[in-house]
Amino acid sequence: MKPLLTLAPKALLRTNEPLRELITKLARAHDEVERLVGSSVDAVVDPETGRTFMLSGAQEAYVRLQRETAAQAERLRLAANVFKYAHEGILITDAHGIIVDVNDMFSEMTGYASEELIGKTPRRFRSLHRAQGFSVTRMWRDVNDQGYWHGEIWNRHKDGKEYLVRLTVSAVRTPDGSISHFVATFSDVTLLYEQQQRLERLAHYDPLTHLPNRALLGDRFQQALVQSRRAETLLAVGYLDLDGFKAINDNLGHNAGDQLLVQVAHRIRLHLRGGDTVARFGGDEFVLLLSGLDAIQTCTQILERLLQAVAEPYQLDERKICVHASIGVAFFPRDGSDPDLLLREADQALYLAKQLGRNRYHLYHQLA
Amino acid sequence: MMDEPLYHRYRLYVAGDAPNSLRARHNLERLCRRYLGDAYAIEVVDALNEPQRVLEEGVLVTPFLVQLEPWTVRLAGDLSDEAAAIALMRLA
Repeated sequence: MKPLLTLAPKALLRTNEPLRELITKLARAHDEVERLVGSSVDAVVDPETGRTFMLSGAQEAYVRLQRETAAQAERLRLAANVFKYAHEGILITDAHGIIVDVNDMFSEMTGYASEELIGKTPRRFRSLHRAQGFSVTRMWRDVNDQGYWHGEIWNRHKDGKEYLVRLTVSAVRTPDGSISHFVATFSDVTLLYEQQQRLERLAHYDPLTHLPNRALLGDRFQQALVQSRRAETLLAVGYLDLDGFKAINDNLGHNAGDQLLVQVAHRIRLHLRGGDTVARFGGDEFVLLLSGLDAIQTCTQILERLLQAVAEPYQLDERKICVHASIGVAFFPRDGSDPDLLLREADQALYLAKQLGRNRYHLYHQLA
Repeated sequence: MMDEPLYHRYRLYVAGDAPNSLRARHNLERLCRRYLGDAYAIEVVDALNEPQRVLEEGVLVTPFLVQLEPWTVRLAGDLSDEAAAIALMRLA
């Protein structure tokens, strides 16, 4: 911009340059420590000599301009620092989605240096792994309609690792309303997500065998009941208990007992069908849900296979041991339709299976 | 009932009768009368006559207002932005 000092009084012409410097300096000083109200001034004072320079209208305008420029530069400096030191990754694209700048944090998060990114599109970060409910089309529609979008997406690091980010995309508009840039801010929430997953697992799964726990079985039970009702099939509810597990625990120690439970859980799971559920209720108590059964015989075949599989020898460290199981079973709808009732009936049938000599199954309706 | 206003003391640095300086004097007096009643005093220092005082105060432009009591405020310009002036001078 052309400095407006040409209208300076003759006496000042020789000192144009120092005056300009003086004005620049004081404009900055004002921005820091003093406020210009109305911003109209008449004279500047040289702080070295105390000499007062009267300003023409044009020079006064120059002072104002300098002050505004200084204020603007300060705002820009502040914005640049926010960009540079933000703890969130920031990516800026033009209206066509071409990357114009990224901050250091973004480079750190993605593994790409800014030189590798500027001029490209952000497509390379997109993971094949989609967060639940995420749609690129909807994201862009929201950005266009509401001016922003935020949500969670999976990104891909340069090294191939995927990570979950909380993303906000905002449209930057010119005064006439057209979009000039898009700004995307990213924060890595993978740790948070993993922690949530862990908590969820803890709430629903047995940490030793990774089988569903009592709480998750409750959900599965309701689903299986609905399914069986709709398909008019049988649902078998089985209580499985190892014969003599306490003795193993007492003689070989809890560690061996735990190893055994893990292996038993594995075998049970292996011999069930895809839609079936086995849950661990604690100790050596397992609960089975076998759904979609056309006949009781289908169930008993599975139970026989299961008993055989459980009875195969187990390798615990150096030791080979044998154990078998007893199972009590109740059927929906034949024996009832309430989960608690069916579990109680299965438990009673289990008791009878033990009474009858163990290593067997017993069906509740055969009790009478 | 409003409290008795605190006594306000101002020093206004001007450059002779230059237009912005005159406007600053006028605006300052008007604001004081309206908000402070009689509880104020204004000393006007002409930078052209007393450069030493301007230098001592560290004033770099005129008109320039320095408030001395009951608190300190430093403002440059002709005070024609009334809302800003009232806020910065804590008159209301």
